[in-house]
Amino acid sequence: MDKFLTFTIVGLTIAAIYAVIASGLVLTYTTTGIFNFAHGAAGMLFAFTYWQLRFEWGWPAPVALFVVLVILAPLFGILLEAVIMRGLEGTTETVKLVVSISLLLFMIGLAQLIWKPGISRPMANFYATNPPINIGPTTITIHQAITIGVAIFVAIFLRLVLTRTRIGIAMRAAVDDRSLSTLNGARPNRVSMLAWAMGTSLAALGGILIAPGIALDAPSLSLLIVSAYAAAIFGRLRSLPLTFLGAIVVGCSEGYLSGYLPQNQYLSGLRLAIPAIILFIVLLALPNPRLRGRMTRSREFFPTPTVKGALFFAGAVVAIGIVAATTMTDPDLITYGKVFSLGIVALSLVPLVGYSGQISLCQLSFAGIGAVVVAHLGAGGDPIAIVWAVLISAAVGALVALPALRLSGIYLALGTAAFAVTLDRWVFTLPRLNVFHLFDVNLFESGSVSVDPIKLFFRVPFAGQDFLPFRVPFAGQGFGTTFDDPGSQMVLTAVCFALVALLVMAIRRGRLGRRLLAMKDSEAACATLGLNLLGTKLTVFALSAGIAGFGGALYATQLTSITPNNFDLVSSLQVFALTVVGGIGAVGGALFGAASLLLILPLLATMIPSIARWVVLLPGGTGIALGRNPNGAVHDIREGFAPLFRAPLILAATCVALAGIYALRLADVLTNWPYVILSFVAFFVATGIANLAQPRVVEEEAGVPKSELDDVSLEWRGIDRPWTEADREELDRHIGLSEAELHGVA
Amino acid sequence: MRRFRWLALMLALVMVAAACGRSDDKGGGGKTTTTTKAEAQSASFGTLTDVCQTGHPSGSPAQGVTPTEIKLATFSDVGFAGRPGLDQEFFDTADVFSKWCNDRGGINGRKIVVDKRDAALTQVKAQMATSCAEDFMTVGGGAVLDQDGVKTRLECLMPDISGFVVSPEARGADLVVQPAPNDLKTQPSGDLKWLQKKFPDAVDHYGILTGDVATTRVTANQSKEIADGLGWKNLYNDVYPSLGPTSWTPYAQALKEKGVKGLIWVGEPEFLAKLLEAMSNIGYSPVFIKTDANHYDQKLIDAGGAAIKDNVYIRSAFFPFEEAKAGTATQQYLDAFAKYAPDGKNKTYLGLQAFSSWLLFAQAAKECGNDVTRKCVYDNAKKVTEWTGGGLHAKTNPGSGKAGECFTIEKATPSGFETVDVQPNDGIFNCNPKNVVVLKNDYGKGVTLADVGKSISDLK
Repeated sequence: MDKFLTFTIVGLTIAAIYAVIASGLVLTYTTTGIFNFAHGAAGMLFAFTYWQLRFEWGWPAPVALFVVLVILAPLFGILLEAVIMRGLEGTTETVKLVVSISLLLFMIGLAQLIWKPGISRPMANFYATNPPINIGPTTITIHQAITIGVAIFVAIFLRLVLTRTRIGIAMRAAVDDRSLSTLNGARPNRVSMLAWAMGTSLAALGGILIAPGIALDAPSLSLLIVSAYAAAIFGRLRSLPLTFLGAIVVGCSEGYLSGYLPQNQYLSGLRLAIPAIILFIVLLALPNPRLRGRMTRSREFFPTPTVKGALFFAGAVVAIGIVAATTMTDPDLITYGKVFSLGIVALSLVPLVGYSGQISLCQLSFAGIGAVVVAHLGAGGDPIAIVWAVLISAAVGALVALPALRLSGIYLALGTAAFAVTLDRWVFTLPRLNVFHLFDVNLFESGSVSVDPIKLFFRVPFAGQDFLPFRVPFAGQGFGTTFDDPGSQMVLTAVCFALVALLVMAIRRGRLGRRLLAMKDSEAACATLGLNLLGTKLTVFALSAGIAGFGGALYATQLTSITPNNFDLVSSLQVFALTVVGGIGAVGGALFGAASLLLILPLLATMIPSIARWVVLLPGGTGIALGRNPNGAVHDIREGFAPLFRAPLILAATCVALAGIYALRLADVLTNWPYVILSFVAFFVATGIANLAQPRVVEEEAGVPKSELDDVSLEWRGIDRPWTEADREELDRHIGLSEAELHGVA
Repeated sequence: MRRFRWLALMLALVMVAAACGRSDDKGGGGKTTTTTKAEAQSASFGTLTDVCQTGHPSGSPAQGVTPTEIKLATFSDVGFAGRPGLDQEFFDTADVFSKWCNDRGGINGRKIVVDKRDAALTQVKAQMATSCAEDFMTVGGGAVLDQDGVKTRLECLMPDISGFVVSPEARGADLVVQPAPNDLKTQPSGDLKWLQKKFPDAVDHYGILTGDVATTRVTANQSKEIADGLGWKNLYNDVYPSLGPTSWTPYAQALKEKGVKGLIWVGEPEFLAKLLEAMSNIGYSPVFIKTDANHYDQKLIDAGGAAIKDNVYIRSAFFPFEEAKAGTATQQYLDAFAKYAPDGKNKTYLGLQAFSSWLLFAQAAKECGNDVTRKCVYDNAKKVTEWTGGGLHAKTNPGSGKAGECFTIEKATPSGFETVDVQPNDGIFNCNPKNVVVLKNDYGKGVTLADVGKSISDLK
């Protein structure tokens, strides 16, 4: 009995904290329609702030609490709402999600910048020195009692505010129907601000209550939120009473399961994954509510890739791979060479998120599956293991998709996040599994598992020989080619990336791509037109997971030994956020995402050590800026390149020049830096020339209407440049209005 | 012009990548050099004399060795995002020792330059490959996932005088000299024997709790073999998630229910503090909790506070900082930290152990005179069969790589650590060949030179 009571108290204490955090989450989601992934991070930030005031500077607890909960946290919430969240009108669920994920990464970075990690920051419980209170057979500490009391107080307080005060009623009105409440004179902006202020304050309260129980550590405190999500989902992100009930269910099951689960090495990780599993079950079991979100046209636009463009992109990727493999030293290739393999994982997001609008936060988990498969089946470098990696990841992807089919938007994101958490906290940490001697596998050998380099059975000409001034990579052994040095791996992954990119672009141009886009635009319309939604979703999930598994398998062979840390949720979030920043609808976005994560950031940190500490803020920072430019960076990059590609002569000359500079580099006339700078200059000069050359072309062909030559495609006119009467005529022509109709209307 | 900004960024990204190779001034780690002129300072450290000294070096007998400097790599995992600042003491100690030594002339006139190799948990191999291309050898560091770098290190024939070794692959590897050996086949057992004598009843109700990491499991299993061999009765055996559970109460409750009276804990000090708190809250306190030297850390005291009862016993082979007296090696170590890295992490056993590695390196390199080669330094270090780091710790045998025969026990109290009377026969230490036990079970195997197709005769 005393055991049961002990665990009830443990469960209720956890439940109380989840309830406080989740109610803040519900408050912000209902009033503004933004699911704040960074909610837990805000709690973490203020737990640190409280520690600073209370324990480092020795302020009295009431003063520190007042300053944090009543002044700093609400102000921060208002700031978030006004500066970031309000700018997200008219963006898709994906962009909103990325902004809040980026905010999460940013806050973790910020906390680690201010409070140097690795130092012990003991945070005492409230009234820690007082003895626990005896309640019959067991005891309850004062901290636990306070925590439970606070949750009850928060419940009553929210109830009173929302039903008895004017602003509370305005908040509820905004939740029910924002436009109607505006018509009736409510001010939704003020309501949003208040909701964010209260929400952040509640997050801070939760953070301060939970931090003493676990270590004051930025990443783990921020991700605790996954448990609170489960509670919020109970209330379908709308109902506060149900959220409190959900918190009790999650908290108590966590308490009881951790108490009554048998001691078993297979189950130690399960305890951490329990909230995620509950979240997954709740998502599936509860009727899926209709998502909020007005039917506004999104500001995003991703053009169809042209065949020429696709081939050029693939060629450029391979060329970069070869150049890098022949000019960089081995250590640098090992450090930066994973760009393309991780790029393939990022590519898997393009058809799934970019084309079909499904959100997945577990792509790196699929990559992890691919990696494990290749580690266990690829002994001796058997390339068939890669095929298995793709097939098994795809199968798991389809398996995840099956239950996830009824989810969409933020619910799908949460479901996939729960899957990722379950995998990296439990499944990947499992010790040797032996099921009736049929199935015997030791996934990560509870640490790291080594991966053999891939062996392919063909021979590259001149492999391993000194050829001209440089050594040809692919040091072949026997009859096969073993990709065991970083240079050959770089080339292999570059070729694979190019092939997968071509595949993804072909999908966009083909039948499947059109179906995916249609599904993104309107599932209802697709169903009405007889499109098989189930089949399409399954296909794209399996395809995407397969691609991710392929990338993961290659990534693993480059790492040579893999740990679950390589494939955890935070890394998944980073890849997701940076790919969306790059432009989720285009293959270039995937390359951008992987390159920023593995190239730009580490390079910045090594080249300018003085800013190394600040680099951690960049991924988050760029993501937050996404609200301003939802099409991603690659769109701008492509525009920058555009004039060059329309001038074939200049382009050819540039290629020759670049090849010439490369030859000089190979002959060791140039060292790396001059080589880079020269190539850089050549490219810039060429683009500049192409830009200058452009207007002349227009003049020469003065007879043709200007709009015909216009580089801005039809969809972008009026956005990228002012709208003219000629555009209207052309648009009419394109939609096939006859002259008669036009004049008839006029 | 926004489009050009992106264009520039994109190009920079592609091209700068290529630039990383072969340029002279490239990243990989911070570098520390001191240009202070050699002053007439005592170069003695504890019982060691002339640790560092001036000289007139010439030539470059090996990679990383020039007429003016020796480039040495120190590994750590400070950049691991999951636990930022992990093993920062390795870098701090490297800073302190190199500055201390360079102020005294360096190694026969060659200054020590430290290349800090941050493996950030998962980058061991890349960092090792970089190190292979640039450094003379690795000293006073280590990586948690060190199994990933052993092969690379052996392929380039780079010796390691390690700060610590973790995985079986590294613990049993070739070309490693450990100042405080952590052997795969022999383990110290003096502490367990002492506990058995003191608490004969408790050892019949003992349990093991360890972090869910392959390498700590190996340590836990070794402890279990020793305890079982001594006739202890195991009632409880569990692992906790390596990043810590949401609540420690279930673990405390489970231990209480099983009636565990003696706990062997293999984990981290902050987590032990949380467990102690949870135990105290449910009114349970085992007779003893036995743990390892990594818990000799102020973190345990800070985080544990009043929850630390009179029952946490830490096996140690170091002189405690609390008892450092003027003129002792421990006091010199603290003084050096105060002078050269006042903000560094000083009072940690890993820092001490790393400092001992540096001293061992300096002694071995000094004897090579002008011809500082890998073979010479490795052979000299390997020749040392009795080593105390100038008096930082009990006698060890780096040459044999077998577990040390000396131990003491530190007891944690809410106000700090105190040394327990373990019937010492050598200072505060109890030294006896019987304090070491030879293990029977298989705990894995180290990577050898033969595994990478080399032999010791390749070492130059």
